[in-house]
Amino acid sequence: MRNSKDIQATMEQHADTVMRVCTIHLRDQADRDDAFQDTFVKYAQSEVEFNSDEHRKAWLIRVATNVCKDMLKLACRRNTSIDDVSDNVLTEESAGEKAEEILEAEELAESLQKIDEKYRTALYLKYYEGYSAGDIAQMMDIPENTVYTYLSRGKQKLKEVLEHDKGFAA
Amino acid sequence: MTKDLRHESDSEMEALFASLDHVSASDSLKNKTLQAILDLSNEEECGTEIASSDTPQTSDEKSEVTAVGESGTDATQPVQASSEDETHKEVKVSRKSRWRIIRTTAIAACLALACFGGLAYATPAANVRVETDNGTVELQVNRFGRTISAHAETESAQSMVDEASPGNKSYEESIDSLLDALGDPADHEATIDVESSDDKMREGMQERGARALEDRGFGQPKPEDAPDAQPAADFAVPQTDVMAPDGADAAPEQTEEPGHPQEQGPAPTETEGQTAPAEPGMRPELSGSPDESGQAMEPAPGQDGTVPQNEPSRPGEITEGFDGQAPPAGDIQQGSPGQPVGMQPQA
Repeated sequence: MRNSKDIQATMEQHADTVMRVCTIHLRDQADRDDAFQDTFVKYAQSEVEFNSDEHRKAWLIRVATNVCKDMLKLACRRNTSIDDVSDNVLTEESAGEKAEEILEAEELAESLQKIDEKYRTALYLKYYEGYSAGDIAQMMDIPENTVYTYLSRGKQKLKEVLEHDKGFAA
Repeated sequence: MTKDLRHESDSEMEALFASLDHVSASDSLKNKTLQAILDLSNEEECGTEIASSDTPQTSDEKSEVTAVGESGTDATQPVQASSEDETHKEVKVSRKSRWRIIRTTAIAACLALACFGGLAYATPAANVRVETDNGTVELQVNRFGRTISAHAETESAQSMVDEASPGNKSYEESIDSLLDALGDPADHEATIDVESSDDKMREGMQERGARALEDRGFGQPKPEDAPDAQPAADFAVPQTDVMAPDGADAAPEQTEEPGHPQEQGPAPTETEGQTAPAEPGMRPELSGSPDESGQAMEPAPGQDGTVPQNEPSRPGEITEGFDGQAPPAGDIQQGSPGQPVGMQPQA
């Protein structure tokens, strides 16, 4: 178990990154919070030695992605009704407590959740985190050429989803 | 052109993803997570189970995706939502622990079953001694009727065991293979003796062993006092058990042996002569009943000696005189007592 100062410093530095990963993968806010906590619990329990802060960040992104994938599998097994989740989101949105920027982020997350997980992760790592194709290949444990394929297909699918849902021309 | 479009698309994508800048974790969520990790470490030190400690900490109030400058404004969360999450988590944890208990119990039950089964299989329930000319072979049989070991007392018996390899076979198969390895039953003798604390099992195995010996031709010890009478006694075994309690010598007298026409030659004449007059409509075969003096009829030619003495003669034998045709009823009625019915057409 890592010491509390290390955990606290890491959380201060990378909490938003982890939360973003959870946001693009999970629809329900409670699930996002659970995935966030699980990720940092795994970090606290891990014995991995990090070479740099970038290494630590990449590790956290990868662990958060895997935690979200596991939760999605569990959600599929539980047969959670999509209508229930949508109602939850709509209720929160209708509360009017969120800023317009957050609604945009939610809309993007909702669109990303409609495409495959592999495309979603590749797009996020490329266009938000700014990783190169080689780094993404290492993080996703796939060949570099596959990353290019994922990015190309992911972009196309995301455009289609955005155009279909919002009439947004990417 | 394609590259330009791609770059343009990349910049658009980056702009699109820039909206995620506004996503951040709330301070309350960070604090709760830190608290959960601290509690987890404390409980790990105390040696308590992690699963039980997960429940209260992970059921914290819900955080929001808030703007960076607005973090900390989500301190007031609905209490009802928190309690629902707590209940949800408790259910998940209890399901996990229940599944763990079920899995552990199932594994333990399987192990216990395997241990008991193996022990029961390896425990001998009966000892079978197969005594042969080559020596004695002792088989150990478990309660499932499987031979678990075989010990030979002599070298020749050991070679027989090596050839038969009766181990891990059923009791019958072991006996059969041993008897096969013993050789020709005409040249060897074999007996089987079963010892067991279970009387029912001992009797059953003894019976099966005796049957195996009989099937192989070893049989029971032969009577040495009457070797000449053996074939006749063997032939007349079913009859002597019923009709000749005095021994095998009485059997030929009371039972007519087939293949002795000189004894049966006059039989048709005597039979027909002693036949009571048949009543009208009576079938000829029924007319062969004993006469009033109670004297038994002798069997017709071709009949064996096993026919009871008061049994009526067969129709085919009476109608021999009619060339195999049944006698008409009128002919029978015309016959006088004592006159052979079958002689009428010839006269």
